[in-house]
Amino acid sequence: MRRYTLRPLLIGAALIAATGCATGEEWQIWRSNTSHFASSEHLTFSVRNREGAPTRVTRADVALARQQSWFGKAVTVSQEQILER
Amino acid sequence: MAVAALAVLAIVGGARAAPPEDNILPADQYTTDKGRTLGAKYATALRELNAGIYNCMPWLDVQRQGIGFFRPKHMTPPKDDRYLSLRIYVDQDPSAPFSALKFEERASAMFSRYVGEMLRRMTQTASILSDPAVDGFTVIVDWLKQTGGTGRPVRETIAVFTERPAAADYLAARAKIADLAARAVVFGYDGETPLGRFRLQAWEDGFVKSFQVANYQPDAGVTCRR
Repeated sequence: MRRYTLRPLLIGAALIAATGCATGEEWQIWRSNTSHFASSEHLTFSVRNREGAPTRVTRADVALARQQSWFGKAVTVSQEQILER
Repeated sequence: MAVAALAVLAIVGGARAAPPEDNILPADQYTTDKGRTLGAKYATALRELNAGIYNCMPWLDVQRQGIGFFRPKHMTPPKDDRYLSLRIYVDQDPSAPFSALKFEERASAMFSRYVGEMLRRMTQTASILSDPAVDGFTVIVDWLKQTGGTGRPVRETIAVFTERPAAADYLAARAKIADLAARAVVFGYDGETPLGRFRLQAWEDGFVKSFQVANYQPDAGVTCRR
């Protein structure tokens, strides 16, 4: 009897462990890779760079690309919730 | 990666690329004399901090009025402790492994990657670290939460508060980043929702010393060096 009632609990726990948080392997991948997540590689810099010309990205290009990929005002904690002037 | 950018900004003359000036809290907006005095005393250091991140770490965005000598709000009883504070948004690619982590794990990763480096930059003017009027340092790090939805983007945030002696020990290599994390007070936020206080793991992460935006060149007159 007890065996049957425990089985769903064990299956549920296994599912939560598998889906609710990173696996050890995922965590290891993230920690060992120092460049794959923090980057601005997705930004495109087509204005300045023409075919055949040396590629150059300036700070203004970065600002422009960020402006173009802006998806609206983000929901975020206000500074006033954390700090006082 | 051999030609790595960052760490210290040296202006070597010529035209300067200008970051938004409103990244720094204006002196007249402090509510106490202590805040105003620190803001005025270290005005040059704050401008250099702003310019250094703007020019040499272009994937970071200093938030409007994100630099200044603010008072941590959580302190009880309230007192006029002034922490040199910096709030940055990390513009990063979506990553399935990163978003699969628990919040504490993402927070630990962001702490490891950015807090130590930001403290180094915030104390380039060495007198800040020895000034008894500076009670500590705050580093606030925001990043985009991967929601998969089509609604408004949501950011996750950690606010890290470090007393000046703890920061000094870390910056003088008397303590490791893990020790700094253990001594820091860290709060987490999911969008506008406070998640409470966290104890984070931290480890050495050399990302900011080696990462460069592909083909990025600082503007004329600006040199970024390690």
